[in-house]
Amino acid sequence: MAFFARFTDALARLRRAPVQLTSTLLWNSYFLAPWLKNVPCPGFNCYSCPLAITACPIGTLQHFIIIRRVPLYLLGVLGLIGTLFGRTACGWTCPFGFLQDLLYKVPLPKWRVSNRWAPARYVIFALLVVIIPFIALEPWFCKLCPAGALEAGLPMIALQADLRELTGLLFAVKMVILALFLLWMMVTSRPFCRFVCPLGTIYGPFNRLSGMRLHFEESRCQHCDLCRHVCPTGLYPPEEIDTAGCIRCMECLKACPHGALQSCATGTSCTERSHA
Amino acid sequence: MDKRFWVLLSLFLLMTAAGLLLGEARFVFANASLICLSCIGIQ
Repeated sequence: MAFFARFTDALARLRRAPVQLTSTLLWNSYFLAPWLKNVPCPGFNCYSCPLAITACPIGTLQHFIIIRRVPLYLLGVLGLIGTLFGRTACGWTCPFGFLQDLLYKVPLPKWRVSNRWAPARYVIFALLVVIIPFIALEPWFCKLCPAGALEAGLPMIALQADLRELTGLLFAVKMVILALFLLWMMVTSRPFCRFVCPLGTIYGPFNRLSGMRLHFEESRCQHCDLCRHVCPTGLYPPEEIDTAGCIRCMECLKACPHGALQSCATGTSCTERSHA
Repeated sequence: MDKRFWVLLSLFLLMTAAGLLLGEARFVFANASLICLSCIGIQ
């Protein structure tokens, strides 16, 4: 289907930061459409944020597990997003991803962490999102989530004096986790997406099945490694493009001067991006 | 198009429709309309 190739090509021509900023404002514009809280957010955005317009899919998933119901609607919506676009939401519309991209611009010495630790996110997903909430009947990922600490914990405590008296050890732990992640985000590119994010864990496997695909054309590659240097998740695009770790930010497509990385639609031939 | 793509698309469309018909959006996401104390960090 030509739509996906054209869509990918259009994305590859766009600057990502304005799209990310617009998405972040959109998912946090409660005064515009509070009824959208019945819709899961495609990105990672805490639904307890006073401005959040949509529901956090991971918080919702845990609540379904706790009440012992199969979340058909939630999994259906996430599955649709994944089937159509794979992890594109991570690279383009996730507010927490945008925060990580911004913090990584802070001029500090950088710390490259190997993706060998990336499978940790599957363990975190299984334990904190599925198994522990199922047994303990409490949303334990939410209790430790740094996005919740930043978007809900800090503003709600600042806005509601009566909540301040209820804070204790858990709030302190949550703040420490948030502080550690904020520091980590300044020195390592997208650490939360790569090693923790349960939503990325759900979307990841769809990269190889989705309508929108990316393709590496080996005959065009000059092994300049430009794509490796721009990848925010530390992947080597010639070997790892469209793997579960790829957030489809299109930075490698933009950077490749030889057209070796191309947009594609599943089941059709790839469309080479034109390079000026 | 890849057959798997259409199978997955149909499956997830069906799941979304079934969930909506069962009223999941109305009663489960009602939770999201309230504040989640776990998200804030209150035990």
